[in-house]
Amino acid sequence: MTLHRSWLRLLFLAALVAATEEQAAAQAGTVSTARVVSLAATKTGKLTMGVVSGATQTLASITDNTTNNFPIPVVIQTQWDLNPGQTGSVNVIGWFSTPTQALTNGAGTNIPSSRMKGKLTPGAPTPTSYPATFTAFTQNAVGGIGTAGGSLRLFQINITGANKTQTRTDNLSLQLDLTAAAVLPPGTYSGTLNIEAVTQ
Amino acid sequence: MELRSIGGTPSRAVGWSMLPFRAAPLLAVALVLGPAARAQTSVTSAARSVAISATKVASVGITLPAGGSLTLPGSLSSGVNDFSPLPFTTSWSVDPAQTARVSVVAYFEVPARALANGGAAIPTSAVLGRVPGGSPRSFAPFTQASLTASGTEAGTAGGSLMLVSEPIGVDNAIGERTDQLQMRIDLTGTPALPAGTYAGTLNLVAITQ
Repeated sequence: MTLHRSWLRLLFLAALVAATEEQAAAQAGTVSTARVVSLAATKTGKLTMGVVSGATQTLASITDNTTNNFPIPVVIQTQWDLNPGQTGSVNVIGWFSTPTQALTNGAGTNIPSSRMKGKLTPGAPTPTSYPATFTAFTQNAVGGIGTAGGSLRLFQINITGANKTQTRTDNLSLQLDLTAAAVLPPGTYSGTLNIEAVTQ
Repeated sequence: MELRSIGGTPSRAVGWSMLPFRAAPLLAVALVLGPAARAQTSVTSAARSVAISATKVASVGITLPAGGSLTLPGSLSSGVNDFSPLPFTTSWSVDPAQTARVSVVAYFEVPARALANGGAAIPTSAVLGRVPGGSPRSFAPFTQASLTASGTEAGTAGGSLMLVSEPIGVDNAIGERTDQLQMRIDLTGTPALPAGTYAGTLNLVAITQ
């Protein structure tokens, strides 16, 4: 009788162990709902432009009814580090704030921006577009940079993987074209040319 | 298979043929706006300034439309001898802020010998001039002093005569005028001169003041 009970206990224990192992196996396969962590790291595009030399342009003596070239160029250095997937082109714009008064003598006589011209002698590599001959500052703003009728795009360079990072130097020559203009009263005519780079 | 059990609905590739017809307009809008969205990532540099300065220098000039030679018709007499009028044109382009007037001065280099014939000479005191539209309007001898402006001297002491004094303002900063210079040799009361040709040079110069 005692022996019979012992066998029954053994069978019961064996059955319990088997049942417990099955539950433990079921618990090992349970997972929670997946949670998503979004990661973002943005590298902002960089674009800088500076005037290396020629920030002061002086014409010692104007001659009426002809072209007057400024003796030294404005040397412009442009540097960028851009994402070609987000940037189509780099543009450098030169403009006068008030096109009708690019230069003024302060006594009521003004020289409009249509009389001021710029020509770019580009560095390497050659830009996609640039004014190869003297061109008036009569263009409109580009990418919100410049003034309507008082601007000139100095160059445009399309951005690709090959040139997404670059430093370049260009020479801007300026000219005061008084051909067929009214004779100017003597005096000193002063103004400010703004230059800025913008991506599109 | 394990990922599917954890993450829920697996992604599926969607073919064009599977898109509902109503989604076509939305897709078209997305395609149009795609490049615009890319262009919005505009980057600008700081603006730089180039100071520009251009100066027009003031200028004045005199021309002689009828030439620069005057010859007394007939013989030099002991009284008044008038030459034919000589036109001269004065032009200027000046800064009215810095120039009050443009003047023309005529002068002989050596007042004692305005015109000479070897050792004999006619002094400037016997040579007169007038400019009906300028100054002097009546004949006056070339015996005025020189004119000096900003350290520049025009004329000679005792041998000059101012012919024009044009006030300058904003309205005539650039201009020109033509006047008639009438010359006279007045030998009244002077000792008789030896016979011969008496020649001399009258200088005309314009100066800003």
